[in-house]
Amino acid sequence: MSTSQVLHLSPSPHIHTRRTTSGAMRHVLAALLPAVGCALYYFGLPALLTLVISSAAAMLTEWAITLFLLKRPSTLGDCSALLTGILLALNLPASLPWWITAAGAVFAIAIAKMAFGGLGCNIFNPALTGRVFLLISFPAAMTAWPLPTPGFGDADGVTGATLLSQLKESATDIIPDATSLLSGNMGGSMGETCAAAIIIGFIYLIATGTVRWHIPAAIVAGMALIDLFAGFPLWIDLLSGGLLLGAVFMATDYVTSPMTRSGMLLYGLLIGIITASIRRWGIYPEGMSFAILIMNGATPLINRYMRPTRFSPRRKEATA
Amino acid sequence: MKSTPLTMALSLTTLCLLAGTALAGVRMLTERPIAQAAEKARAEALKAVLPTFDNNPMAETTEADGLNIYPATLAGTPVGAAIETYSDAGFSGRITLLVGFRSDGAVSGFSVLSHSETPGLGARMDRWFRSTDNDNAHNITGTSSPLAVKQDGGDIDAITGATITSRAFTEAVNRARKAYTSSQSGKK
Amino acid sequence: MKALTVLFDGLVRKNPTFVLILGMCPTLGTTSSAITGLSMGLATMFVLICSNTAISLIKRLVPDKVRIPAYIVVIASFVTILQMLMQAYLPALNATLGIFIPLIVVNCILLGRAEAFASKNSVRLSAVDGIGVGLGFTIALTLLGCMRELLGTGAIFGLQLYDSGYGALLFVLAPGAFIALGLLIALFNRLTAKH
Repeated sequence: MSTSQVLHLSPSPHIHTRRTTSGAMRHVLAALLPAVGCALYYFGLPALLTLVISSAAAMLTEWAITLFLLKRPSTLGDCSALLTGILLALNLPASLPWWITAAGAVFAIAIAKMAFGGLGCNIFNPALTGRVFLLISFPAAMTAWPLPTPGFGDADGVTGATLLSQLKESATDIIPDATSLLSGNMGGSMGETCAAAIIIGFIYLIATGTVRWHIPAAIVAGMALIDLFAGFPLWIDLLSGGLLLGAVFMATDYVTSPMTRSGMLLYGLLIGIITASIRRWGIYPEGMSFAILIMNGATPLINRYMRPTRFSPRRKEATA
Repeated sequence: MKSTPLTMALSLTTLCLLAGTALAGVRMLTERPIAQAAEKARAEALKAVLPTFDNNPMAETTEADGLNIYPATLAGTPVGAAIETYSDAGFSGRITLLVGFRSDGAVSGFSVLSHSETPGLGARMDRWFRSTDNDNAHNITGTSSPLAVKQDGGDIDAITGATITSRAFTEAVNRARKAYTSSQSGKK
Repeated sequence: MKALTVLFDGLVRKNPTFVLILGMCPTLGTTSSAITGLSMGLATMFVLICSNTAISLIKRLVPDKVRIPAYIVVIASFVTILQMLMQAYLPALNATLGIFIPLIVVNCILLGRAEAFASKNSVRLSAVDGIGVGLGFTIALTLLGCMRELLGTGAIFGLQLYDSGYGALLFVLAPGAFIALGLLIALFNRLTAKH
C-alpha cells in the first residue's frame, strides 16, 4: 500500500454551500430595514429608543451569560441576539417604558434561548416569548398603543385602539381603510402597522433564498379556511395586527419551525387556523403570538413524524 | 405482621375506629369556634358595606329576584340592606359581590366575595370601583342609578384593559339594585 | 443513624422541593406570596411530623399488604384535624390557603416519607425526619414565595419594597411559578454541587 496517499476521514456534511448562520441572519436584518424605517417614520424617537434598548439588552444578556455562566467564547457574531432584539422591539408599542423593553429582552434571551442551550437548541421563538412575557406581566402598558405621528414626529403618548381591538370590542361592523392598513398610518405595534414594508422584506427574503414560501403561504391558507367558515373578509385579517410580521419573520425562524417542506406546510396551516380562531372567537384581539408559540411546541413532534427522505432510492426486488 | 385476610381486616378496622374517634373528638372541640368564626366573618363583611346598624341582618335574611338580602335597621328604622349578588359575565367566570344600599337607594359600600379575574387587570376591581382618583370617575359609592361603563354610554370609567370585568361588575351591582328596589316595593 | 444526619438530609441532601421534586402542586399553587408559602410549609410540616410519628408507632402492627391504605388513613386523619383547627382558630389563613389544606393528603412528600422512612425507622428518628423534611419544604416554599412576591408585586411579606406597578405580574401567575422554581432549583444545584 502506497503511503503517499492519505485518506481523509471526516463526518458529514461533505458538500458545503456558501450560506452561513450569520449570513442568513444578516439577510433577515436587511429584510427588516423597510419595517424599521416605517416604525421610525410613524413613531419617531420613542421607536428608536425601544429598538436600541431592546437590541442592546439582548446582546448584553447573551454576552454576559455566555462569558460568565457558560464560560464559552462570545456568540454575538452570529447576529442572532441582535435579530431577537429588533424583532422583539417591532412587536412592542413604540412608547413602552424603557425598563419594560429591557426586561423583555433579557427574558427573551436568558430564559427562552440561553436556558435551553443557546442558538439552535431553543424550542420557542425568543422574541415572541419575550413579548408574551411582557404582555402577561405588564398588561396595561403593553396594550397602550400610541397613534402614529407621520414624518418622524415623536409619538406623543396619545393612545388609541388598534383595529383588531376595535373589532373585538364593538359589535358594529367596521370597514377599515385599506390604504392606511398598507401604509401603516394606524395604531399598533411598531413593526406590524406598515404592511407594505413587510411585503417588501418578504420579497427580498424569497429572492435571497433565506426563507421558503411554504410557511407564510400555509398560514394564509389556514386563515382563509377559518375566515371562510366565519364569514370574515380575509384581506382585513391579512393586513391587520401582527400577521404579516409574524408570518414572514417569526414563524419562519429556522430553529423553531419544522425542517421538511410538508412539515412546514402543516405547521403554517395550523398557525393560520389557530390565529384566526383566536381573533374570531377568542378573548384576545390578537392571536398570532400565541399561535406561533403553540406550534413552536409542536415542531419537535412534526419533525419526528415527517422525517426527510433518505438519499437512496427504494429498490424493488429484482426479478429474474 | 403477616398479611392474612384476618390480620388485614382487623388492623384496618381498628385503625379506622381509632381515626374516627379522634376526628369526632376534635370536631366536638372545634364545632363552636368554627361557627363563631364564620359568624364573625359574615358580620364584619356586612359592617364594611352597610351604614350604621344595630340589628342582626343575618337573622332577618330575605330573598328577592333570587338574591339574598340582609336588611339593616337602626333603632327599628330600616337604614338599608346588603345584597349578595353575582355576574357570570366575568372574563374568567363568576364574580360574586356583597353590595350595600342605603334606604334612599344609594350604594353605601361593596365587597368582592369571589372572582377569578386576571391579576393586575380585572382583579383590581376591589380598589378601582371605590377609588376617589380622577374625580371619582370610577367610584360607585354613592351612586343611585343603574351603572354602565363609558364604552356603553354610561358614566363609569372601566378598568384600563379590563372592560369585560368592568362590565360584569356593573351588571352585578345593577342586579343587586334591582333586587333591592323590588324588595322595597314588595314591603310597601 | 444519627438524628442530626437525618435532620440535615431533610434540609439539603433530600430537600423535597429542590432535590426530590415532590409535592410540586402546593409548591406552585400556594407560593404567590411569601406568607402563604410559609403557612403552607408549616401546615405540611405539622402533618408530616404527626403522620411520621404515628406511622412509625404502628409500623409493626400493620400487615404489609394493607400498609398504603393504612398510611393514607393516618395522613388523612391528621390533615382533617389540622383543617378543623384552622377553621376554628385561623379562619383567614384557612380561606387564603383554601383547597390546598385538604390537598395535603395527596402531597407525595407525606406518603413518600412514610414509605421510605417512617415504616422502617424508630419513632424518634421518624419524628426528626418529619422535622427535617418539613423544614426543608417550608424553607423552599418561603424562598419561592418571597421570590415570586418580590418580582411580581414589589413586596415581601406584605412589606412594599418598590411600587407594585413595576412588578412583573407573570410571577404571580402559574407560568411564573414554574419559571421561578426552575431558576431556584438551578441555583440550589449550583450551590450544593460544590460540596
